[in-house]
Amino acid sequence: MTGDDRRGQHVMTPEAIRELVYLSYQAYEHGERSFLTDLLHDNVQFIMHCPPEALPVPNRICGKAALLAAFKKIDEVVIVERTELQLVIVENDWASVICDRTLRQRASGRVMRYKVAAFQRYSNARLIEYHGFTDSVDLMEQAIGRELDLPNAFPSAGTG
Amino acid sequence: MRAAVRDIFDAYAKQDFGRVAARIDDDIQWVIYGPRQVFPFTGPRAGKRAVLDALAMIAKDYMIESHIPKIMVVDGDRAAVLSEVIVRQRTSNRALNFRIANFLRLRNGKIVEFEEFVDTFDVTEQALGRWINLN
Repeated sequence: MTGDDRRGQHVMTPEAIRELVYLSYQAYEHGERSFLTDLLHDNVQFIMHCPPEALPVPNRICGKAALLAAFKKIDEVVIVERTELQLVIVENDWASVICDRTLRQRASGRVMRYKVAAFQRYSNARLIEYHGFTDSVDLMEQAIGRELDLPNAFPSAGTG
Repeated sequence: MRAAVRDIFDAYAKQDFGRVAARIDDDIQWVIYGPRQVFPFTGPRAGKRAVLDALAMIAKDYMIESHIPKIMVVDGDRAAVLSEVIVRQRTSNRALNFRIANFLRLRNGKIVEFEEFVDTFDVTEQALGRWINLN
């Protein structure tokens, strides 16, 4: 499923990337952090478009060591109960996914269930770029255990 | 497929809603995730009429200043697009700047499935023009 191009780079086929994506999400669900250690490129760029108050990590992380530290921090605060890939789209070195994830906060026992959309780029069978998106208002409300005080921004709200 | 996706995003960026409408299947399943009290156009929509109504609600409140696809992943009849977006809120004249993730499935060049993700906490703060109080 892989080959070498003229620069000696390890080229992955879409099928190989798709398989790697499924394996990595299974590994994350099952707490197999050593798989992620192998998966991450040393210079990985990780951006989670979500406030750090919802998950206790910076939303922009550069480098494998910092990202592994962030995963460790998340593991200290929440238990990953379920990670179900709903969609995986692959082209060239990019994969885009939609994942349905359930976490449980260790301190409160609260369950947080949310969808994450992600764009992932792979280089030499390593994850080098990640952009994650979620409905962060919903996630924040689940994290703090109450609804946010949001006013109706527009008088027309609710008429649609 | 890629040409159709590019055409959809080009039409939307240019606010050519007639061209956008022509790319929407009658039986479309559509969802934009977000807080409905702030963004009344969010939530699921079924069918072309309902989607056009949602697009009209967006256009009523916001004017698109730029909508630039940065990453496009195409696989069979599906595509995912990460775009950088600037919109201007008509009531306040505030500019909202954010990234957006769209997932589409096309049939005969028309969108039959659509999902949209954005950092709603950040965009809500931009729309309200203030921080959200977490205390």
